[in-house]
Amino acid sequence: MAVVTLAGDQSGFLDLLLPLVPAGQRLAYAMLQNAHDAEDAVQEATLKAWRAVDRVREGSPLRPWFLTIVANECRQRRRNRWWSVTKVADLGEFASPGPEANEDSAELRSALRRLPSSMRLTLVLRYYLDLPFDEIGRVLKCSPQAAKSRTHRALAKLRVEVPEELGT
Amino acid sequence: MNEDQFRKRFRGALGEPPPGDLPRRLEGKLTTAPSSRTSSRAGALAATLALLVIAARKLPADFLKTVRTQPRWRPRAFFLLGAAFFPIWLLAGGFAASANLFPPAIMVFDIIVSLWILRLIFRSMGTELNQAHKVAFAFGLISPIIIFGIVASASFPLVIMNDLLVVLFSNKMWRKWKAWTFNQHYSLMQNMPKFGGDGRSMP
Repeated sequence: MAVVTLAGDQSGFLDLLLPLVPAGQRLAYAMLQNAHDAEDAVQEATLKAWRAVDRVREGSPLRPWFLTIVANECRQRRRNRWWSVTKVADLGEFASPGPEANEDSAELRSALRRLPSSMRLTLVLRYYLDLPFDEIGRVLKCSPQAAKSRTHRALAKLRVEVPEELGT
Repeated sequence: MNEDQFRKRFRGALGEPPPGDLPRRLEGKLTTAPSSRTSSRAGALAATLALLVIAARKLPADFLKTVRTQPRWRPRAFFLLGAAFFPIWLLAGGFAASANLFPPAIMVFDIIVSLWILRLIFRSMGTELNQAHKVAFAFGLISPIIIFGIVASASFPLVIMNDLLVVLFSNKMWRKWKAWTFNQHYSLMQNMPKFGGDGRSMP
């Protein structure tokens, strides 16, 4: 895990930050479900992270910190009233829905969209980005145990939405 | 369904973002140190303040004084000039950002264009029979804000309804006020002492 040891060293910080961009892009894509919006969100989040280089605590892991900024940026974008109409219209768009794209997948995506933002984020961090619970806890600003229970709660809620899909 | 199966299903449903060169593009953007970005903003602010102070001290006193008795154009022209006032700033800023121009340059451009438009309008407004022109100019100034506001609240019918009521109310006020002010204007011109800054344009 990338840990900040170069506080104030901007070129060193950039070397640590840029490898995290693909993870940020995946998180934004899963949260916003639109490739263009995700790219914009990650660009903005990366610039914010870059500007906040002086505020990163030495020795703290960089990935959860960066993913927190990306998640906040995604939340901000979904809240934005200007684009709310467009976003709802675009929600079904997927640039690459994957080999298993079918009606069941669409149902799962639709159920995921109906979840509260924090639950969606928890599930994405755990099952899309494969983060351990301690990193999820850092992103959600809670303990690893709380992150675990939040993941279970989100999963239970998703199971209510799509019982057939999740085999209950 | 166990956890691994669910994970596979979950990823399959969400898909993967299309491949791109975002990290490489970001690397190009982030070569400028954050501190120099802050100094650019401070530079833009300082340039703006300096230009405004210089303009206030050096411009002649009659810079915005009208040179005509009656308005040069019809109210519609004043409306269009007013409506262009704020969007020019926005468009110039957007263009400068996309062209990666030095921020103080665009601030100076904004100030010069604003002064030019204001001078053009004030010198062309005239001193008499210009009520409709003044109102048209004022309405032109706020029209971009109205349009942005309506677009922003397009998905909220209650807000749109409220906006519509305000438009109807303003329309009614305008009709009543227009008739009243012309009556007053001519009464004052013929019988009464003059009020106001120039004593002629407004009752």
